[in-house]
Amino acid sequence: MSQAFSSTDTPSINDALRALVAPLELDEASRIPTGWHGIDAATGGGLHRAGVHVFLSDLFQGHTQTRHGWCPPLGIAIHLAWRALACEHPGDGRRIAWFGMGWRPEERSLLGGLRAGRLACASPVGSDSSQSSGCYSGAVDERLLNASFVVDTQGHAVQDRVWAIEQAIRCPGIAAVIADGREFDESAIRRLHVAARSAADDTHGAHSDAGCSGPVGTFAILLLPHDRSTRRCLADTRWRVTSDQFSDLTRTPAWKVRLLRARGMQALAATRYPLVGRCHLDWEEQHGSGLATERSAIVCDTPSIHVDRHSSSTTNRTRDAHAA
Amino acid sequence: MSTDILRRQRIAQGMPTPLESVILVVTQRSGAERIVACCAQGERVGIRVGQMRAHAQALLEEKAIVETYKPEREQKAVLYLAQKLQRFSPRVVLDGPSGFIVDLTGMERLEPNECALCVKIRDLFTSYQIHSRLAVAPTVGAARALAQYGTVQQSCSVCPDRGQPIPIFQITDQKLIASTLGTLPIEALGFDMEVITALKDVGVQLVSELFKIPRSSLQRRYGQESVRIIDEVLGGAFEVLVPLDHETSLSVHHHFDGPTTRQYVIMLATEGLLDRLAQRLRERESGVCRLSLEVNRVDVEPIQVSVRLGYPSRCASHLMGLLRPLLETINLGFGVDGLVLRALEEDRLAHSQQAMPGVSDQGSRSASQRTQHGRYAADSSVGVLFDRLRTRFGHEQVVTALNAVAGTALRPTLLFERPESIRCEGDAIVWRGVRYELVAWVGPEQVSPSWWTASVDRLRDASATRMFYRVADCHGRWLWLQSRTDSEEERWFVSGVWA
Repeated sequence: MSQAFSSTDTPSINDALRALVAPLELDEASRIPTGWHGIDAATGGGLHRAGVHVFLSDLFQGHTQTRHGWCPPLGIAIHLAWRALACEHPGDGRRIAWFGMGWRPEERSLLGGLRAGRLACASPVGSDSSQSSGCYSGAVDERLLNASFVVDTQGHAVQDRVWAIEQAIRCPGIAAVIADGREFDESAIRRLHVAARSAADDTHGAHSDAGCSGPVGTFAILLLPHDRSTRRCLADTRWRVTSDQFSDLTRTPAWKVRLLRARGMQALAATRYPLVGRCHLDWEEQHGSGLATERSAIVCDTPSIHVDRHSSSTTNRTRDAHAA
Repeated sequence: MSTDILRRQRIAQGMPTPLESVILVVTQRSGAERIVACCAQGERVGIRVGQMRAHAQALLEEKAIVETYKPEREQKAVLYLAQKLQRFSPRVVLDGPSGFIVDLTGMERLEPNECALCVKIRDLFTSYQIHSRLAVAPTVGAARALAQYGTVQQSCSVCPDRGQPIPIFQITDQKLIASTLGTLPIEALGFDMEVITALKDVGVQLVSELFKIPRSSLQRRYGQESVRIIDEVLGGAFEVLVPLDHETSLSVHHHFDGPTTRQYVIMLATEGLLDRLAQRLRERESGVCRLSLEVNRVDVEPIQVSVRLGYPSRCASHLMGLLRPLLETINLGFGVDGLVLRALEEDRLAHSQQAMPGVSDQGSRSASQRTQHGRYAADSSVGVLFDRLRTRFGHEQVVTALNAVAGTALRPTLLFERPESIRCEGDAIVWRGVRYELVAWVGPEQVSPSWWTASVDRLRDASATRMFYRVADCHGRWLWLQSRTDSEEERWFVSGVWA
């Protein structure tokens, strides 16, 4: 194919290709920082806002694969919901939609808290947290709680559930959709992916006409059990959620996410060096007169990139095989 | 009142209706025609509401005038009378199917005293040949009780009048309410039938006997609602009144040339009605919050379908999307000959400035205007989404406001609806067939029922108090365990997890 162009055409071809690719490249405003710096750096600023991200989990998955025998990874989902909310334009009033199947996030886990005089994770990135949240010292941040609404889709057909999530994704007033994706096949996830992309384009056009400067697109998170059926899906990113090792120092619930697959963003780095981020519950306790005063929030650890030797060597072997 | 309305309408239409004739209004209920309303002449011979038509006619010597119950006929007349009553006070409230509440606060300036005003109101009803019972009291509950159940025995409370057979009752001072209502039956206060039956079971027949029961006992035995009703009657609490709106609700009609059983025809006609309604709503700068469609079938009573919106809307396509699933379920029977679309509730919906095609008005708007516009756009689009989701999944499945959070105690991210039983094996537990080796625990945390909602018995019950522990296994998985001690046996459950 390269033989079709002479060397003098190269600059113009490059310019043409750049012009072609420019709209496809994502700027920082279209991404949601995860708070895991290593992952954010590797993914070019965070997760794509107008995209579908799948989080696989087998936490607390019992031996009996019953319908109720699976617990969605809500800790990570709540953390990302906070991140999505923090990136919202002040005053836009966009909401967070939760689509559960017989479950809903516990109200108190949606509260943001204060620890050592700083807002743990509820502050918009790059802004003064105390001013943006309107909180005072010792207060509880209820923004996520107030912005959330829950739809229980248990007992409804997969088509109905996909339709409902698609409606929420296409709604310009929804900042993030967090949904139980059990029984969703590849085509369902593809449909949601297309909806997210087209909704962002439509909203962008409408916002431009109306003179609005807020973020566009809906951040969609699908929570799925980690089993054989979810090995392939057409999501922007695919993650594995596990519990982090118990630590005597923190003595708090902690989770670990590992990026399994990313579409269109430094996939090589993601494959060679599995990206790992950590989240843990953070609260302070003051025991006195038998009562405990607690402030809860989900915060993320200092991000890190872990080199998984096994995966790395596997990748190298695969590359070597390709080279051979 | 419905028989009075019926008699007046018959006379207006030139139909023979002698004054001494008995008028019965009947409806089909429980497989038989039953009496819904009866005039005073019929009540005198022993006819009662709920009686079968055949039994009622057996009590009469002459043939009665029997009409089928049509609620819309009565509703129309009641609304007409309510509008007439608005000349005495701007705050007129419909009370039940045939009652009115007129707020006379500040209206005494129009007449020398309240009684003179009441006489004028009764003269209004008399001019329409409608029998009425009037009462004036400091509270709505007391006035309602006197108007419905007052007798000449409450002579001290009778308004000086011109010797009418039924007096106008009056309570001038709030302190006199309890003594005046004392001789009335407890039904006068408007309790539920269950409460009335329960009170009569313990020998409470009169209001005075009810007032002697301690407030705490009433609340515990008959619920908070009974205490609230008594408070409203005695003036200890305000009764919320929703006055009749001066503006009539919007409605548009469509009549077919003949009965149709084709669904697509009805859908098209509904779309046309929605376009017309949207146009009129636009003219009023408002949106509809509650919408009803009346489908007039030729063989049975009209069928009504209604939708409630989360946010005012005048978008015809959105409203059609909400009505379509309901219309699809209607049995069209032998055909439909008309549709009536009503905007039962409206709210203001401001016009929005549309930008010129291809021209951005970003520069012409201030930052606050842009924020306000963005907020409005978000709210309206979320309102549309709520309506769609609720239509598909049901109102209870879409929770817009999460429960109030009491306290900030740490709770799992996922709380089970019902605790799941586990088996303890030394330092490990077995849950859902998986063994968890526990390495740490925090607790116990004692959780008791809320003292302001739970009953006294439940609060005294020691087993109602639960002990909770946060435990972690060697893999860092945290669970919220609950221990219960029933009959000296300790049982353990998983109440939630940090998933």
